[in-house]
Amino acid sequence: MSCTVAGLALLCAALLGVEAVPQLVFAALLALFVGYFLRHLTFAMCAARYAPEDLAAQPGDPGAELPSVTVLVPCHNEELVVGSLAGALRGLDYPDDRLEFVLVDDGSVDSTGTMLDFFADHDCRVRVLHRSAGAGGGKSAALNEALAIAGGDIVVVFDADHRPRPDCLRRLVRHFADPEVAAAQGRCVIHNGSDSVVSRVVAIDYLGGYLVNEYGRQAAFELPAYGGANCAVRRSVLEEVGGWNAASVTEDTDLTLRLVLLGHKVRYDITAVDQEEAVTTVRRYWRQRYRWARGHQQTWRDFRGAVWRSPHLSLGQKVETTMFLFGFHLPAFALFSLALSLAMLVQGQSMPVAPVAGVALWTLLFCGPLVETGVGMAIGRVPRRMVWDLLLFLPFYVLAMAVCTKALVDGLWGSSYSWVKTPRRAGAPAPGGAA
Amino acid sequence: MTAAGRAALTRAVGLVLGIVVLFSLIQEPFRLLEARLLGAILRVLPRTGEVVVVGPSVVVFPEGEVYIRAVLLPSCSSLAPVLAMAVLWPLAPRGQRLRRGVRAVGLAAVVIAVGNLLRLLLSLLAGRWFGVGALVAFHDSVGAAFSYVYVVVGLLVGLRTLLAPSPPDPATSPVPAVAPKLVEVS
Repeated sequence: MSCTVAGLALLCAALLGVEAVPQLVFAALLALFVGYFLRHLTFAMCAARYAPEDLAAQPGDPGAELPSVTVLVPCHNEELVVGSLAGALRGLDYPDDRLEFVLVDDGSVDSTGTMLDFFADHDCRVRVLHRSAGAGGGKSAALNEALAIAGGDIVVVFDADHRPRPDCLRRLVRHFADPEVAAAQGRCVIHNGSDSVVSRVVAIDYLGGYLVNEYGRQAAFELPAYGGANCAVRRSVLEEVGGWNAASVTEDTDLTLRLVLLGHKVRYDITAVDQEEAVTTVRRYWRQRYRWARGHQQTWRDFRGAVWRSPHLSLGQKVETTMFLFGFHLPAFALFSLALSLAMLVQGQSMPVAPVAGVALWTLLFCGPLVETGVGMAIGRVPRRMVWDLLLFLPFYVLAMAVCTKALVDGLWGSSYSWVKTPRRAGAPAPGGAA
Repeated sequence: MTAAGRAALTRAVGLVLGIVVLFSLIQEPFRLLEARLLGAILRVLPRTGEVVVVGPSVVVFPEGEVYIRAVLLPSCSSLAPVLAMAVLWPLAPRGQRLRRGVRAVGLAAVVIAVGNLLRLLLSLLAGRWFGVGALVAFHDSVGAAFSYVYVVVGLLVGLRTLLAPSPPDPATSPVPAVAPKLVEVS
């Protein structure tokens, strides 16, 4: 692709002169950003119109017998949060004879393994897998080992810092009544948004992400993403595709692509809620977002061609999937366009689009991300004063530009990278937490 | 693509095109209006000198000093961000578009229009008291940063209007935890 872009740039330089190249690049960037603006405005409109009704809807009678479920939780040095997790798992409203837990002690060097064993001693639905410290492969490898002993028809994954609401499983599994559905994703909510400025930004970001973006992808394209936690997948399909990809650091996006390319459906349930812990420091935020950016950018390189060759996706779904995969490149392109516009200003060059239309368009693009998150806040019924917290997004977008640009350069350069666990902070354990 | 998605995308494209077309059509009369308003405010202020408005230009003649002529370009006008606030209207809750949606767009537009008038006024006053160089410097640096601020504030005021006072989302209440108990499955 980079060769194609370079070839096009050379062709433009030859035909129109070297001076025209920055203008054309700038126009292409503007078109790209307008495309994303329309995408997000579409999602925001869908969410504003339909999400409040869906949030208020009560789950109907599942009708058929509930499927058997295996809950998988990989845990690597999670002693700070595993007690709260155990308390929440015990509270899940699901028949005992149809529910089992496989908890993976993934090479922990703290007391995580002991705590999980305590949990298993008191509940015969729980099995604990102990992996050695050097087993490697990260979360995907731990999940694949757990999958090998899972007995449920549906496999549900939670991370160790998650606390599913009691009705979460029932709401997720109802989607599997449709035999074409291979995976269902629930909504994640941040429970420690008041811990720090960073966690507050993440909490608001999740409102936009789950109440607008993920909801909009389902409402507009029936293409929600299967996430890394609070997600259910049909075991038979998972085994058919070979489990989770241990070579990917965003195994969730990788699996989403493999499922939809095989013609399976993924569903999103806005009412299947679990709570998770947000990172609380800029350093941890950087590490987490860098992993997401590296993983998503790699998934784009792995699947961009296959998406357009897929017989199972409509043209609209191909465009949407391409834009979804390309999303983590966008902040890097924003940084590039900022640098280019500064260079053009210094050289006294004018903007490529007619000034009148250009002024209105650039203003709209500037408003786009804030509008999407603002709609998420409205649907999430946050107090009105919290709208001013959106101001925090401006410095964090600058950070995102730096993270995504570094990930892009590192990924293209081919520097090695493996799974990096997000460290926990953990407040006071929930009442009733194990050990 | 679903029917809901097609409808939303059509409205989004229509809205963006409408904003761009409307901006192109009315930017000139709107600039004239802004220039007249600016002139009227300057005339009220003491020791500004004689103020003449010619089309989209505001000319200030301080006594015994060199006159200053400021032209209100399309990019200096508040029209683009004012029209951009129209995106808030379709995002209002169902059944409340007329009340909450219009109020959100209106409040955001007023904040932006007033903020822009203030920026232009301060730029001209900087020129009046400290010379044309100060006008340009203020307009391009402090004024540009200020314009960024009032557009964001206007947008947030609009978004705040969309947020209806309501009980908190039950999804954010603490997840009940169950204490250890012996579970055996027959």
